[in-house]
Amino acid sequence: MEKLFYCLTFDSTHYAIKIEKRMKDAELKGVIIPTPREVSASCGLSLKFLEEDKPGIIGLLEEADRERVTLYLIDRRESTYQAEKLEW
Amino acid sequence: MSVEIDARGLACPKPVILTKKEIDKGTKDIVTIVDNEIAKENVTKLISKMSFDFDVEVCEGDFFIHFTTGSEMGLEEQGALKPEIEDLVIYVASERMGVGNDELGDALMKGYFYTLTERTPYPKAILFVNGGVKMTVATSPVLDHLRALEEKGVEILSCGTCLDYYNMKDQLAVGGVTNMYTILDTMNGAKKLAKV
Repeated sequence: MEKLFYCLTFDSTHYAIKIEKRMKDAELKGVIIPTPREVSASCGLSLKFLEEDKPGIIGLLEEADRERVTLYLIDRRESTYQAEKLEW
Repeated sequence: MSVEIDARGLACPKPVILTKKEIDKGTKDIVTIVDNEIAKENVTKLISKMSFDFDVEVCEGDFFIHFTTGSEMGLEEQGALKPEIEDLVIYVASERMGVGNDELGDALMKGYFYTLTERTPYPKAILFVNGGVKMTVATSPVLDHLRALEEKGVEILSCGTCLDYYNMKDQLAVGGVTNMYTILDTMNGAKKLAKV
């Protein structure tokens, strides 16, 4: 299980599914997960991915997505889990 | 000599972090002192998670949590205390989670299996029948999650009749093939059964 990963949260489930589709079409690796508990925001579905896929996945987002999508770094290396909100 | 961590008055998650730091230092006997129930719960949860024994002494509203790291418990005993696998069978009868919208059902299914990989104890077996067998073949959207579960010792079983019906017998990519006798025995013999 990855202890350090990125997570995109969305303002709606429709939007999460839409971005996942874009990601699949671009053959990028990321998985749909329930929004981690450390992040108390937005809709129930999120997109999880690792550092190597970050540029590709962020590249799929458009300027218009800025208000609808939030990027987090989830850190579970310590017993207390942390989520850091990042700019993208 | 035990090391005392006075975490009274500190906000969550400070007491846990301080305790963890002391454990990581390799200190053997530790006493963490906290002044509220939530902090006590969080610290003892950490200690339990690491399979150490502890005692809590309540004194004038403060909690004194005594524990010893690297306890003498054998690996087997630890396994018995915290079973990784529970007597639960999950029965997957379709390729989606719930009825209503297919696109949403697909997304929920992915979320479901991902969450299963994250949560312990794991189920002892997952049975796939009818459209559910689409989850165990090469084109499955949850193949990685099922492989991770199989690695943890979860038995992944697909209905052979169903694979045959969908012409996917040669595409099975995780777990084994089973028949109605085993499906029935596995379901009826389980303490708990969950249907997806």
